Amino acid sequence: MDTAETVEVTIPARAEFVSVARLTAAVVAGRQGFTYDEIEDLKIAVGEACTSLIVSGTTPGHPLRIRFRTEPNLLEIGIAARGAGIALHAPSRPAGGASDPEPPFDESRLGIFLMQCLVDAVETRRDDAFGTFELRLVKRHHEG
Amino acid sequence: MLAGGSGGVIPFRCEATEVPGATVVRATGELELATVGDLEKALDAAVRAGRHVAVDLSELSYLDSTGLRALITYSQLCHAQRLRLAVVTPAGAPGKLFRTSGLDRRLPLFDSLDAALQFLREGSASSQ
Repeated sequence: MDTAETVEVTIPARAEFVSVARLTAAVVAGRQGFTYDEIEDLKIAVGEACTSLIVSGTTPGHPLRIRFRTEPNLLEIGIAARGAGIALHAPSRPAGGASDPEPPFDESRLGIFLMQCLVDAVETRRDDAFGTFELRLVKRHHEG
Repeated sequence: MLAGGSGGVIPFRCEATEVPGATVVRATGELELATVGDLEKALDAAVRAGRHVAVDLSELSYLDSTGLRALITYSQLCHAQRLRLAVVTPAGAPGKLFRTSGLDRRLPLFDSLDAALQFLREGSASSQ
């Protein structure tokens, strides 16, 4: 039996509505028994995801559709937008860069970096035929 | 039930006060894309006036990359003008972001406004 449940919220792709997405994430995760720290991490990750899309990934005038899908000990959040979306990885990285003791700090990608630190998985899906983009975050509840 | 602090939005406020040798910019509430402009305006005014800046974030309830980016930008602007910018860090999750992002190694962070102002005073003394 599929135990997954979903909550969906649509917000205008504008800065003042990001808090609606963040707080919805907190309420859904709270109902699932996520810890305070996990909820705080999730709020920031969802805020960063919406902010990144609003700043550079959506076609103006189109909303963000946010779908929270809950499973036992897992919350999956899909944020769908119309537009080119965002790239999770820097467009070019010189060969051998991985051996650098500390990669150069790229403040323009700080939001994406934080998202990747604060949830268990971040993925993107682009559908060029429909001009749509989805950013998917997965957060697991670690018991104890 | 939700743990405290996870529900409701605390309105953002930003105010600047002058103390001897520095401007204190105190931000409370949620610092994010919708509110970062107010912080930038206050920091801009302080830097244009040629003053050291203490950014007091101790009462911040939420912080994201847009707020962190503003701090880096104005820290660099201050540095270029031989001014100092010190940050009083918030507790809890917003404070943790300074470590997660690595900014704890790039910005002068302090636990109290007194410590931040002391750092700024030392900057004034050394530049005279």
